[in-house]
Amino acid sequence: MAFHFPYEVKALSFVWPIVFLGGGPLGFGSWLGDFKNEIGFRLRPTLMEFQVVMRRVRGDPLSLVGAMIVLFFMMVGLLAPLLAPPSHGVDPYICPYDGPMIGELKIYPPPSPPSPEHPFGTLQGFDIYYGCIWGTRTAFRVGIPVIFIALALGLLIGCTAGYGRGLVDELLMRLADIFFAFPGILLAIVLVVALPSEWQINLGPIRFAVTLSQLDKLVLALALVGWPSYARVIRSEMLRVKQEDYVEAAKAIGCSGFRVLVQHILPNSMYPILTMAFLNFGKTVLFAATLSFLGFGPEIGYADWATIISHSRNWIVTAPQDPFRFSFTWITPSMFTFALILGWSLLGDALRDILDPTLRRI
Amino acid sequence: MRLISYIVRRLLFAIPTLLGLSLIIFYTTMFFPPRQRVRLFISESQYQNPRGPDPVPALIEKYHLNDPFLIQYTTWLREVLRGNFGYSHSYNKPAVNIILRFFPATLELIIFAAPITIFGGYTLGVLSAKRAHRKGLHGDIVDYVTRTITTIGYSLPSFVLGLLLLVIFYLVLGWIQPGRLSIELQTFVSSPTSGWVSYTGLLTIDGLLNGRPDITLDALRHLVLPVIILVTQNLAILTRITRSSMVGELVKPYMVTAKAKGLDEENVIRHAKKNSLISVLTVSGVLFATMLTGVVVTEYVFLISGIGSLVVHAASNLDFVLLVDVSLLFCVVFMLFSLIVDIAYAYIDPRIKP
Repeated sequence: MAFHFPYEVKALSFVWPIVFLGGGPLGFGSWLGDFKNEIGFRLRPTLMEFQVVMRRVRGDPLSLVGAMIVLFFMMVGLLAPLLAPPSHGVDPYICPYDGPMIGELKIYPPPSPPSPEHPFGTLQGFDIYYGCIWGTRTAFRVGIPVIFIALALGLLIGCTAGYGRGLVDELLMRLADIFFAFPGILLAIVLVVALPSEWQINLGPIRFAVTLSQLDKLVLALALVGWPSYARVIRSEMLRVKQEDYVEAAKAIGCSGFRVLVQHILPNSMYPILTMAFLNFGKTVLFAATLSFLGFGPEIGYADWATIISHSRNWIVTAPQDPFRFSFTWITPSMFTFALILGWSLLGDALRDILDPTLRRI
Repeated sequence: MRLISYIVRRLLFAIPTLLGLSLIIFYTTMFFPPRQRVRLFISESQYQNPRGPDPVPALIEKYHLNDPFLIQYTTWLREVLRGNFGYSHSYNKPAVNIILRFFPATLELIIFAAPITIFGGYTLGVLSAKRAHRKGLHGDIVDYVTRTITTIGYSLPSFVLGLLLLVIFYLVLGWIQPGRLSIELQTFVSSPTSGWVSYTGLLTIDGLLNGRPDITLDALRHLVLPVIILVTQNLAILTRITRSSMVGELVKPYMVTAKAKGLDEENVIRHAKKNSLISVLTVSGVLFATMLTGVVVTEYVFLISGIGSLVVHAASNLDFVLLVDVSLLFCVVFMLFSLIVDIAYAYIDPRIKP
């Protein structure tokens, strides 16, 4: 039985090797040539496609820059405990405080400019350098769960709709429409406000309380805003894949409905939304930062770029005679935020152009 | 005639969505205790009566706030349909009055920002795509510059751009203060004895109607920076979308046919332009959402008393009545917007019958 893969699905599947192996910057397209003879006939078009992609990546300097920036931030996030060692026994995401105190009470001093102990200065006694380094982790810690929760929700609802058809499909897609019609930022703000900090879950014999920090609320709110687009795409993909001959063939040889769904339909309709999820990461970080800037993020002292920027805002207008006096407090975290989002969108743009089979010939 | 029946049909289809939206919006308030949820119903500050018995238990009883969710929801929906939108505790006024007072500032921002975004973004996108088509995937210098600027505009968080412009133009150059008007004009406009009549709430138009062109000019001056921020991000998105859909159209077989017929380049491009508009319309919902995000951030940074800063204020004061009403308002606005988009589809694409 010949497997017939739709072209764009195969093309999009190349996001993953490139992303995970760093294929662009490392450039292992060259040894691929020798390797090619070893691999059987079935993989040959795949490898040729991969070589085309590699050539494109090398030809487009912007995608390399994007990949470099993204890798840089991944390294910073991974090496955060080395770059800015946290003190023992404290939550590492809380910036070290260096300022006057009365007992346990912190008296927030005005920002102090960069100095040898605090390379980026301090904001109300909190070290900005520490906040920027650990803020990288916060960005990933917000972005990745948001994407995963939204993806899981979208997958569940989209699959049910696409496979169930009929009334189920209609109802679930109307639900997606409803979430679509709710302007994202409003929904996120409403959810951040409405979600309780402590959730008593009482299911008869099973009883437990969930405590949500401000950051968890942000993650949940963003995920609830994000799922409908995944649900729509997975549904339409499934409707398309269901028509393919190989699904018919699988049914004909007597596969169960569940097996057809999991083994044949899902793997072939997953790639578009995986790609979408990957590309959405930058957007998610930006959205989270915006909410955090508006004051719905973690409290002051938490290592989060937008939180630092948000609290610097109060100090901007306090020194009219010397406008740049306190600008160090927000310029560095702003540059971190900008760089991460820029890197991601450069990489994403390049990948989109490179992997789009309809743009091949231009 | 067919168009009218189409519009009616679309409006009928919008009703279930609106019901679903209101269900979700109302459900989010269920996390608050009934004592606070009373504010969704009352129109006066009846419950703050310091003397006399506590009126709240009676109100909770009256509006079924201890009953199951669906009963509460229908009670609330009936009140909303009767025009009772609740009471804002942070402003101590009925919520409708607050929203009506804050809406014009936002409207004014959008009136100026939207046309610039739409025309600018579309023109830039078409231009960039033409160059890209002529020179291969990466285009020439115009395409390159456009792509770089749009990528930066897309990635630069609007609050960072806002703070940057605020520091440069307000603190360093001293040109513009935050707000909608200069302080002296603001006090003039808000003082009850000045004879200022607020016809529309839009300061630029009211200035002309009141015979005060200086106020119009001042309001325009204060609009420049906020509009720049609003435009930047949306322009970037629109340009990118137009460019990619245009590039996609320019390689389709009908373009070859048009060229083979001997059409000159302008006419060939015109074919592609119309078709690329369709995909631009498809993402207009995204543009609406980014515009709203931009509005919230811009108003927050520039201290403009519009819906955006109202949302932030309401959320940080847990004034959920205002949040509920603003959400309802924007959901209705969005439904109307998508109706207009759907009508525009029918005009642009003859394959879609209204």
